[in-house]
Amino acid sequence: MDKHTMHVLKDVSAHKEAIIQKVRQQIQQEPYPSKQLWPYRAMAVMITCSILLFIGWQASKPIDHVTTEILHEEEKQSFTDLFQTEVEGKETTFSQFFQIADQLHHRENIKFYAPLQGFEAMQAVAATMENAVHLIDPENLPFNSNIQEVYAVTSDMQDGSLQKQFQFSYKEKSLTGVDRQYIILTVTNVDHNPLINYKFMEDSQEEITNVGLNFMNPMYYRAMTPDKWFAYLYYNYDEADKRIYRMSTRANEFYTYYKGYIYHIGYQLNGDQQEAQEKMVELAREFIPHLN
Amino acid sequence: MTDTEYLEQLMELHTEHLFRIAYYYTKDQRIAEDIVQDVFIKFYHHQKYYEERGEMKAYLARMTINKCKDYLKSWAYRKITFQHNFFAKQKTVLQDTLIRQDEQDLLDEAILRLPIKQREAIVYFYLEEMTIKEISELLAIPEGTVKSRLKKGKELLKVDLQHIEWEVLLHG
Repeated sequence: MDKHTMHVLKDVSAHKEAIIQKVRQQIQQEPYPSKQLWPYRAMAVMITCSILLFIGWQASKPIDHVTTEILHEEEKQSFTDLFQTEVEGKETTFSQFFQIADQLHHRENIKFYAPLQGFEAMQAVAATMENAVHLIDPENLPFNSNIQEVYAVTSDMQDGSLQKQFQFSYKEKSLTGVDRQYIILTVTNVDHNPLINYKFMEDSQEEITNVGLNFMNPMYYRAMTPDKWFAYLYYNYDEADKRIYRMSTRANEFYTYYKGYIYHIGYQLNGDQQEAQEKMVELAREFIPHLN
Repeated sequence: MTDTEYLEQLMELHTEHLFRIAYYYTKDQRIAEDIVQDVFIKFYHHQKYYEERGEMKAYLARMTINKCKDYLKSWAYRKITFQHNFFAKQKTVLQDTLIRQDEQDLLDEAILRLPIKQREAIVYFYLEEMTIKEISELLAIPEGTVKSRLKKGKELLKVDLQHIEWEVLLHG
């Protein structure tokens, strides 16, 4: 039997040439990101100074100003104000490494909501979570994110209380709709600490390391390995069908528990992976408000 | 050899193969080009973490397949599909008056109409001439599943191409 080749694929040399040219151009136009560390360092110094100035300013404010701000705080939007549109959805997300410990793959009465777009929406959602998250300003990310969105999925816990899972997504999406680079932070309230009985072994085959949230609390990290099982799961939205669907891919992951919440973070970044990991440890610790 | 030289070498060797794979999934040459471009750029940024064990072709193919599947789930793809279906209906009358395509083209179209799982089994086995074992490794599915998808794919093609005697279908 002769080999069959599709008519349009008989001569793909022109496409080959076009691809090679485009890759060459892109590599020349976008120098290796890891070589340009000084903007991040300058930014980090500026942020630190701003935080110190802000703390000083807050401490020096008269008490009546503080009272006014507390009154404004009460005007914050609630969960139901923000997530008003329930949409279709079937599969939930969880860490495939810790699912036995946290049981997040078993949920009941699951409801999916249409995601909210933009950093302001993310801030509004973060405000409903008391002090569970400290959002990362898109300007401080190690890539240019053209998508910022927040998802919400709710379910019932065993004691009847509501479990809310929020997914804060920062993405660089290509024109073809591919998530080229992303940082996805998922936060879920739980009724128990899944890590209490977790036995951590540095030399296990799962290649998980403890990078530490602080000196007391662990934060587990696993680097993306293309040849291993266990996918990283996150939500995406199909606007046409009004449906949340679950992406299954490979990513670098962080996992920890702190004060009633599970934090599961996945990322894929270009450039030097060691530097990306160091930056991500820093950002993950910033995102999870904790005591040092 | 520098990273760039290594990338150039890889592109020279694998671009055509990856482009064909991307086309089997996306059915669009421009999108296939974009996806293969994304794969090489991503590889370029991550290459020092890849440990070469003589599996580069399969590794790049897996990256391409993952990108294609992500693309097929994306909103951008849904939008293009909708536009394609909408305009295709408008063209139907015109196309009926055109000369019929030859059997090879009809076969290509029938393969591309197959559901993704059957399509990938058919194209890898018959068009890329991979073995069942190679397909099983590439798609990370058991060999038995590859065989059943091939069988189902051939059945669907037979129904779709009832009026054509296609050698592969009769003897494959």
